[in-house]
Amino acid sequence: MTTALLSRVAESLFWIGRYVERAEGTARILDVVVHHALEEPTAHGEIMAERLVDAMGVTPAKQMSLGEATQLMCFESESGSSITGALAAARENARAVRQVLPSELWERVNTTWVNLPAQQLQSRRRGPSAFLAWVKVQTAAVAGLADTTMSHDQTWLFFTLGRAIERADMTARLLGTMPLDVLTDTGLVTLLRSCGGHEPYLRQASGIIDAVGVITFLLCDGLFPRSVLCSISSAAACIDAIGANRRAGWDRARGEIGMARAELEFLAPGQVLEDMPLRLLRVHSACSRASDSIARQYFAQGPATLWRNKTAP
Amino acid sequence: MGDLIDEYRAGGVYDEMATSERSIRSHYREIAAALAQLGTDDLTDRAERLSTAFRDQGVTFDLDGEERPFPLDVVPRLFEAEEWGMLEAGLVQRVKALEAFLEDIYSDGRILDQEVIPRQVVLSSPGFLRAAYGIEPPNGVRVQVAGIDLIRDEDGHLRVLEDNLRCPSGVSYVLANRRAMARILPELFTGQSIGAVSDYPARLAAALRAAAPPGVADPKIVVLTPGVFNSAFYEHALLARLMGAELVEGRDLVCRGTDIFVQTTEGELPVHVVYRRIDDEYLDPLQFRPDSVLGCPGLLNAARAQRVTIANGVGNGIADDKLVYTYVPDMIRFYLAEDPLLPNVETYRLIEDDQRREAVDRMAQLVWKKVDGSGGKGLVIGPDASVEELEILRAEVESRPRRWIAQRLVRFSTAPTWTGEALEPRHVDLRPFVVNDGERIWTLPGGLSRVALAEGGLVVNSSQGGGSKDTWVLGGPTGGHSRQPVMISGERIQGPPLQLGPRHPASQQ
Repeated sequence: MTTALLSRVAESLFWIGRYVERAEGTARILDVVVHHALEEPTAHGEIMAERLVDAMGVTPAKQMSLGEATQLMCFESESGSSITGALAAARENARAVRQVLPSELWERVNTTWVNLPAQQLQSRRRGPSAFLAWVKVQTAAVAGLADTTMSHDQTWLFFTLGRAIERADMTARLLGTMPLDVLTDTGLVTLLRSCGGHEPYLRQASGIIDAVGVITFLLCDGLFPRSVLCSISSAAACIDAIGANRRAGWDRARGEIGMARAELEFLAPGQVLEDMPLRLLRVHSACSRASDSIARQYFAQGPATLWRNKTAP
Repeated sequence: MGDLIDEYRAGGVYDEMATSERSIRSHYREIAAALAQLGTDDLTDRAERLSTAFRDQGVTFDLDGEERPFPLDVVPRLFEAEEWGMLEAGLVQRVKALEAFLEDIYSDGRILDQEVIPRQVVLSSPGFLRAAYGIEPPNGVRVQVAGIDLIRDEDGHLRVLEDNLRCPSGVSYVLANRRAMARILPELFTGQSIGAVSDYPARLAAALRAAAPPGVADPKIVVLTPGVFNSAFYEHALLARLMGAELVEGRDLVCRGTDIFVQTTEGELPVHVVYRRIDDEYLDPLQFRPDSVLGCPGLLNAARAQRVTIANGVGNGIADDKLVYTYVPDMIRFYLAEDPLLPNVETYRLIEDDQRREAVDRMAQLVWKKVDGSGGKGLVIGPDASVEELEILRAEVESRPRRWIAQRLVRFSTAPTWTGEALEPRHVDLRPFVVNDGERIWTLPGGLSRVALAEGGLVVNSSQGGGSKDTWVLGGPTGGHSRQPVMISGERIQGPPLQLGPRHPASQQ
């Protein structure tokens, strides 16, 4: 049983989850891709930058170097798709719903935002790695505090649902950064490391890196929390728990997520590399459609009503 | 160019960066420019962050029960592709000859019959193990990993100082160094094409799989460590992690008949390859030291029955014997019918009377080492030793000549090293790592450069205040200095724009 939550509050919690996860996912991808480009002589900066901005859905005005792309995705503070932008948006949402957040959690979100300018300044001198590491630590702390200091009621469920949907989307984007038809071993390792999955994968596969194994792991492993399937399953569990005492017939968000999960869950291992671009696009669209459906179902407040002074005739 | 580089003075021996006319060698130009650009303040800051990063990651070695970080210098040590290519050929040749030697002396002993090496030298070596006789490695490889120590002499030639075919350590620092450098000093990397080191664990894992007993389709590999108090435990854990192998201690293994198992929550699971990081004498209390608790009773029998492979091979210590080392050029000629590509350091065989007399006569000018010494222990540097020390040594050498060798004191090369205030020349050696999977002998591009951090110091061992340098092979196998995009762009995947949440209206509040 859960207690009902204000729609507006639920929406903010959902978006805090999405933005925090977005900041973390982006930081992970950048950290690995940028340093991969330095360490590996075969990696080509411009091509990687190109694939990176493509996958993250950014449409830059001109061709970028990897450094410029990193700068854009870290610090383009105007948009919620950069790390600083996402963290600022998370803080903005958190501020509006402070009353339902444990104060430790709010403070962590807030101090992260407060420290952004200083961190950005420092990264100018020292390069991005310290900044990215810091973002990873801050977002992990936020997620950890949410898990351990929030009651797992609807507040937590909406927050976690946002995280899960964003995470599925992020892992799919990560898979899009690599040319899947010409994957090299180092490319595969980069993919794994970008979501912290290198070591878990190695343990599971006794050290053998191969394209089918790695893609299957990131797409449909049942135990690794950043695989697309695991993230989607976690989203489905949240949706089920949230909707447990509603008597609605057809739950659209549940349907979107369920279809996407079924496609991954029952994918034959031999077919995992086929039609990857399409498969990834289907994940993206399932995530965004589910997000929209959740908004319609739970967050709808109707358009703000603007009363005009009309004199009676 | 900035002050840092202008003020650098090489100290009278061959320097890796500067020539005797104080110009910068061509392969060091880009890095020198990048360092000058950074300047003193930034370098101080970066050096501090490097050491913090190592402390945080637990990149340590254990000295007298204390965990210490292994200092990493901010200035990498550079090799040109051409020189590295020649070095690689020399290392491959050497490993081939040493493999043939081990194979031979633990079977027919042709090299002894033909008196290329005196039988007495081999039989009297502490590294020669009779128990190794009859252990046939399934794919013929006894040296899965070799770490061969080299120094660059006064004339700029690389010379082999010693061979390590037992459990050469240090590769973890190569991996950790590169990772830390790319994160903390990214400016140095730009515009350079540097041989990648990150696939070492995959290469080693492949070599270990290739060494599995016959008929095993999916071999289970374990890394056998003495435990957390071993000085190289960090490395054992890192390699296990990056190979996806289980890290085990002796007590995790059981032997049933001639099969080895590892105890798990799902019962006993078979083990096929043991990448051991413990010495031969501790491997199996039934064969060697009966008091050893680090090994597994019955392990050697299992290897003899070819049910499990021990890597590196048992008995490899014979090749690490520093007297046997003096015969490696003869081995190369004998087994491969080739001339050695890499010279040794000039060494006196003290068991030969005339050589011993000559060496003892100029005792104070030579370096004296125990044939089975490692880590700089028992090392006597003639010019630094007192008269009493030399007297004791002379008596020792005269009564036990087989236990010692004497080498010319090589004032080996220096490389620019950050002291906290300036760049100064410090002596560096090199340990490249060579992996043999039975089909191909592969050299990790770079290896570990150890640096003696004390001014003028010639001992680079970590236990004696040594540090390390990230080692770069420039213009790797992808062809020259031009960056060839090997990663063809493939099909581009355009993701949709990221979704954004609603904004909160700020007006009217």
